Parts: sequence; structure tokens; C-alpha cells
Amino acid sequence: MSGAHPPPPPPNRANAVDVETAARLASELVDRLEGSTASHVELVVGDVRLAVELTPGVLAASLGQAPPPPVDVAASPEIPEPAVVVTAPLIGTFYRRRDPTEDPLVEVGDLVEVGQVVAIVEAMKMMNDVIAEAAGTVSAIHAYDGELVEFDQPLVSMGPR
Amino acid sequence: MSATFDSVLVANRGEIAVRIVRACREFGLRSVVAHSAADAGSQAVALADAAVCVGPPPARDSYLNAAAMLYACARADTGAIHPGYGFLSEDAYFAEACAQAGITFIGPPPAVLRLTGDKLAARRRMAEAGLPVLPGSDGPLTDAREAYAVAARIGGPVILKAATGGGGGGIRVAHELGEVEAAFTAVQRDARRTCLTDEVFVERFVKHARHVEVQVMADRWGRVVHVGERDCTIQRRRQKLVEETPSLAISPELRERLCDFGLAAASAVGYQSAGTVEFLVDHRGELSFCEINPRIQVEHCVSEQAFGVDLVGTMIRLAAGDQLPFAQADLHSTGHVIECRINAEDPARGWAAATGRIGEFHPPAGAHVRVDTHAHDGFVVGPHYDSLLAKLVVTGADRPEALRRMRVALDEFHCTGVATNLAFHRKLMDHPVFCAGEHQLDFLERFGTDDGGLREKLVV
Repeated sequence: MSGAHPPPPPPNRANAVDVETAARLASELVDRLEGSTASHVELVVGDVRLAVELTPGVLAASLGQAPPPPVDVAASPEIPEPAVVVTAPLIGTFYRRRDPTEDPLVEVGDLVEVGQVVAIVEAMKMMNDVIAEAAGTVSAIHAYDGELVEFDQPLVSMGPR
Repeated sequence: MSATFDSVLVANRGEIAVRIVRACREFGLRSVVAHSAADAGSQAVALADAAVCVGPPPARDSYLNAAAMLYACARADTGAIHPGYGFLSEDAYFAEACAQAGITFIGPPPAVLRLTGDKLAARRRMAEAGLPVLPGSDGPLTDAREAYAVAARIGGPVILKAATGGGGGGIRVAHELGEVEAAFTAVQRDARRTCLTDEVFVERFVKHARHVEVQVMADRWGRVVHVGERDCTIQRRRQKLVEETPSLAISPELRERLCDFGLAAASAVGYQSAGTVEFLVDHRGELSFCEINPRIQVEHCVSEQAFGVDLVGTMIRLAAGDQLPFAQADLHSTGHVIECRINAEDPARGWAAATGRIGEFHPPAGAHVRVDTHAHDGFVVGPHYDSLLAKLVVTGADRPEALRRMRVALDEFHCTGVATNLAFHRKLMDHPVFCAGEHQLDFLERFGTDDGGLREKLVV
């Protein structure tokens, strides 16, 4: 321990920290604003300005124009491609097949394209397609055939392609 | 309890969901809260044995989704549904669907809901049963000209109502004949948008009236008791703000008549479960029937405190097939009870509902104070549901004592981060007209100021 003052952070590093901090604060802010009547909020962290526009029921965050967000690939932390979880669009009965005589719509290990039907949730004799909104490889199926699933219940997990 | 079910799905949210879960816990019934995605972290969900998410935040996709509630029953294996108030509580189709699915609907039978849901049919049935109804149209009005003709025959100001409206909606007052046709058109338009039918009827408008209602309880063998009256005259936009019992507007003789009418109304429709019969009392003490609310009411706590009974628990027992656990002679009111509805709303901005995150929430406590609430520190008041945060219920030996205790309790009530009507209630409890008990339904129009305050005297 030298006891000396810590060296000032390099400029690039500071920017990256600002972006990270802004992103974290923004996500906290968005949580706090849920249900609020505010329509416009700005957040300034160091060199980063973040503007949040709220319309009823919808949150849309946009990074400000000036200064432009620093593009520093080397400094950016490695973000792994997140796992995608397809959830139930409504409460009802989960089916892996369109028809009992058919094969399951997806199996673990299958490659799924955007917009592909991965399961069915039946409610009031209506067959509702459960659609993958991202592409990926099916890593797990969380519900069993005929299970009564609740709204937003995880049904199918997908990893990177 | 001769239980036909051992578990209850709570198809509601907010403070009433908490109230129902507590009643279930007391009776050893498994409780499952059916909630929207917005209420996954609610107090009712935390207290219940289990929870089922029935849909996204908008009520029409969750709390008003009858099919989703039945699926939730199947998923959670519950034998009964308590609908609370609002949402599906007065929906005859839903009650019918529950019956067909073999699920006990904790409320009146579908046929009763069909009748009470049609104010015009209920009005006719009440007149046949000998209850006083206001002069008005015998059937639905066909057009604005007929509305004008009936209004001319009645004379004076009239009120136009949508036959299947509810919750204070689909109602217009025409103070003069010249306003009748426009009011008819407006009510019919509202009815087409929000009600089951577009039938409109007209009644005499009682200008200087108080809203007094009778709590009734009935079992399936036709035994009916009343649990006294509640005076709900302090309202804003036809929404109750303060309720109390006993009512200062009625003499002991009038109270007896009112409660007898309540019993007659319940018997005339074959009522079962907890219900409320609403009346107007004019300045001469004349009573007239308004409507039947076929559900537990927000303000049921007032009667529970005054009579020492458990209305929500009794409702569940009645649905399970029990007889009424008390006779009329067992029911006695003691003291005076006042309830203030603490809402997230801004009286200074036309009573607009307020949203946002509550900072600190410290409700009052102590002897003679009951608070029914689902709010807490950090609670988010979202835009999807009603603004009720808490019901503050205070008991005294008499009205002055209850008022004094209410002032202390309101003073102690601390809620930051979201606009509330707490300051309004504090002013109301000191208002000379309210303290004297001389207020009427137009109290806020007469004494309310644009900034959400109250003037003490009328400005002439």
C-alpha cells in the first residue's frame, strides 16, 4: 500500500463507467416510473444524457444525441447472448402438439426461427399459437402436455443458436 | 361448517382480496389469489396459500376475464370463487358459468344477479313488493321525445339512468325539461358503450337527499336479517368517500321502516348471501328505493365494527350451505362508526386518480381504529385499477367521540410520494355542516372549492 492517491481513471474508462452507471440508473428509473404520470424524464451521468419518454402503459428509453455514446468495443464488457424464455400468452392448457397424432412442435435441441410456433395454449376451445419472438436452440421445455399453465409462465427456454 | 368446498379462489385484488384471504385463513380454508401480472407482488398474494396469474395488467384481460378465472380454479383446484366487489362480482353470466363448472360462486344466485343488474326490472319488482319507488317510467324509454313526455308528467328535475349501468356510471340529471332530450341521448350513448343493454329510464330527481343503505344477509332457506344501515351521503362524482352508522338522517321509527323495507326487498328477489339495498331519504324523511347491490360492499367494515359480526366470513359460510349463524334478535349495534376512504387521488385536480410510487406509508393504529389496506412503503399505484388505498374505520360511543378519534387517526396517517385525499378528510371532519350531520348528497357541489378544499359557509 503506497498510501498515494489513486490515479485518475483514464478518459475512455470513465466514459464506459458513465454508460454503465447510466444504464443501471435508467433501468432503476424505469422501474420507479412504472405507473407514474410523468411524461418525460432526463438523466445525465457524466457525459451521457439519457431521455425517457413515457406514454400510457409504454416505456421507451432513448439515448440522447449529444454527446454521442462512446463506441469502444474493447472497453465494452462481454455480454453473453441471453437465454430466451417463451412464456404463456394466456392462462389455459399447454400442448406440445397441434394434434395428438402429430409430433411435438419442438424438441430440446431443435433450432427455432423467429415467428415459429413452439407450443399451443388452449382456452375455451380456442387453440392459441405460442410463438418464439427470437431465434435460438431449444434448451428446455418447462410444462408438460396438458398442464394448466398460468399467464406468463415459462414454457420453452432457448439458448444461442 | 357443512363445507362443500375446502378452498377459495379470490377473484379480486387490493384491500378486499386481503380481507377475503384473512377470512379464509380464519376458517381453515385454502386460499388462492387470482391476480394480474401487475399484482404478482401484492399483499393478498403474499398472505394466500397459492396464487395464479390470470392475465396481463388491464382488467379486461385479467380480473374481468371469466374464462381465465375458471381456468385458475381448475389449475389451483379450488371449489369456490369469492368475487369481492366490482369486476365479476355482479356478472350473472359468470355466476352461471361457475355453477356449470361445479364451482361455488360466493354470492347470490345468477337469477338474482340478472334481476338486480336490470335497474328497471328491480324497480318494478320493488314496487310490486310494496317498497316506495320514485315516480318514473314504467318501461324502457324508446326515444328522447318519450323521455321528455315522461319528464313533463313527473314534473321538476329528473334523473336519467341506464337500466344496466352500475358504479355510478350511465347517469345524468336534467334540472329542467329543456335538458331532458340531451341527457337522454348522452345516457343512451354511454349505455351503448359500457352497459349490457342501451335501455334508459327516468325517475324524479330528489334534490335534497341522503344516501342511506341497509345491509342484509340471507341464507338459502329464505331466512333474512338486516345488519343495520349505513349513511353514505358524502360522495364525489357519485363515488362514496365517507360512510357511517347509525345515520343521523333518520329517526328510530324511520330506521325500523327502512330496515323492514330492506328485508322485504331481499325476500322479494329471493336473495342469498350478503347484499345491500340502497335508498334515498329526502329532507322530509320520505324513503325511496334506489337499487340492490348484490355483493359485499367496500363499506361493509362499518357494519362489522358496529354489530361485531364478520360479514365476509358469514358470506363464505352461507355459500358453503350453512344457515344464518345469527337471528335478528342477536344483532345489536353499539356506538358510532365512521369510515373514510383514503384514495390515491388529487382533490385539487378534479379528484383525478393519482399514480406513482408511495414513499412512506404509515397508517394509524390504536384502540377503536381499524385499517383495511393493501398498501405499504414503496407500493406502486398503477394506472390500471381503482384508487382505493385504505379504509380507515373508527369507533366511538357516540358521533362526537367517533369524530374526535377520526381526527386523531387522520392526523396520524402518513403517506408520501402519491397525492391522496387525506387533507380533504381532515378538513371534512372539522366542517360545521358535516359535524352537525346536516350534509346532503350535494355537499361537495355546495361546499367544495376548486383547490380541493372546503368552504365553511355558502357564498351567496
